[in-house]
Amino acid sequence: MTVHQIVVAAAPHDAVTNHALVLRDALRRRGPSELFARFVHDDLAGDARPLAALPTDPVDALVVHASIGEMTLTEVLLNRSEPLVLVYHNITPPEFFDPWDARVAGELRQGREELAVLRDRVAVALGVSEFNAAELRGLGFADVGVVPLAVPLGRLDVEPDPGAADRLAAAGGPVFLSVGQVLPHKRPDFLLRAFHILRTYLAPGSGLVLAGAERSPRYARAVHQLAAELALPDVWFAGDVSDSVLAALYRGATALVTASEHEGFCAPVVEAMTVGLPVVARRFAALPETLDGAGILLEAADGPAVFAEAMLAASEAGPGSVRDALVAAGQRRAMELAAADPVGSFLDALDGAIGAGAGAGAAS
Amino acid sequence: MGGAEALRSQPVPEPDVTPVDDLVAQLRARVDERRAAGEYPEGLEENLDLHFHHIATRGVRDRLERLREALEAADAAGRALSAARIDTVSGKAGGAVVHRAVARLVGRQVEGALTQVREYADALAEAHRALLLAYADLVSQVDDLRDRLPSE
Repeated sequence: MTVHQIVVAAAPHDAVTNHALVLRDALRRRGPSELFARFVHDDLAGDARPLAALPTDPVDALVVHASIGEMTLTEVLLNRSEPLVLVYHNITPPEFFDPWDARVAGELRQGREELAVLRDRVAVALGVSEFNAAELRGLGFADVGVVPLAVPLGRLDVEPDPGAADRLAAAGGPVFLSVGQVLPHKRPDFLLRAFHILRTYLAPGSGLVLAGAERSPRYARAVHQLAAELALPDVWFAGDVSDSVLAALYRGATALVTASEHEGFCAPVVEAMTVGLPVVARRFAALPETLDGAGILLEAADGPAVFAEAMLAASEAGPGSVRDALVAAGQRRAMELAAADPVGSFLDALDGAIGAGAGAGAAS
Repeated sequence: MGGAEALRSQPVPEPDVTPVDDLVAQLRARVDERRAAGEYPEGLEENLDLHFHHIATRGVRDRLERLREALEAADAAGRALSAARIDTVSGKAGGAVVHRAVARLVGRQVEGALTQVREYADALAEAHRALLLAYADLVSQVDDLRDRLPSE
């Protein structure tokens, strides 16, 4: 059985790309399988091929991962005859980007329009969370399934970067970690406000690490400016980090914090729960579903002061502490998610799409 | 093998209670207590919001907004031109009667002058809109150029 996958952009440390690579490894145990992308980052040249290289001969199925608009890709898909499996990672509402980046906002709007165009071509539609699945149903897709995001936790099983480890070890207090791109919907500006309150009034020795690429220059500049004007010397903008740096950050941090207002799943939450970090987040999009009660989940109306108070609670260890209970709950939740077998569920859905069922296994 | 794999292999303790059920309410109460005790300055969160808003709109966008407000005020003044707004009150006995009589006498001329001023105001408002669009376009182009520059 030959099944290829397509993403808009193949980039390192990107949740959609990571998910596709995990699925590719599983697909290759059944037959030929490649990952194609409209844009391929240099670091992934060995893992992903340009979309233009997609063979013209029909294969058994094509899997497309949707997270933003890309008309060239959509046109390619409309001209193919294979069964199409849509994996929906969610498209960020463009309103988050309107004040900062008109081009990205336009691509996000286009993405939703392209989903509607593809609707009749899709044999099986899958969301990586129930939140995403519900959105697809709202767009008119029928029989939408849920297959959780495959989070490649093995990437953290590396030697932690000593420089990053030393930097965290030298901190004079709790260190809070945020993993995610510096983008408007992820609200690092909110995190900085909460951290300002924490550091000024509650826990003066604390630190904050923001690990993630800065792909929205205007917004990133404003966030850096806010940190500078609030005089927060212990904020480390770590940028797009390697797996070894990320491993060091997860090992050395006190808690994972995210102020994000839109996530289709949120892989860092799973990573944090797995490695034993308590999580502080806000009740937006798929976050309640991914956490499922295993972290502190603040409401939209809770401001930075309540968030700062949650950070403090998540940092204080000891018998019967909130922190210890959150760590235990997080590890149980991580095990539940691992037991959900995202890869197996995906392969079952794929078999349904190509109508092969058990026969596909015999043929491979 | 280390990292996540090692941590995954550790036994997971069973908590006595679900920790988060009442926690958020407790956190809010603590914030209220700190505010009541004067630990936080008044308007702390609002000021932080405002601070980021100012950063976000600083520079050319800030000036664009000021231009927009000034032009809107000028346009509003143009739309408000009316002979009815020329008052006829007077502090002198019988003065108001005289003013109203004069107003009636020169009403045709006043209305004629106002019509010309309104036409001028309309033309100016149109020019303002064109100016604003051109300036907004320039701001957008400047932003795009800045985005292409290295961050540092």
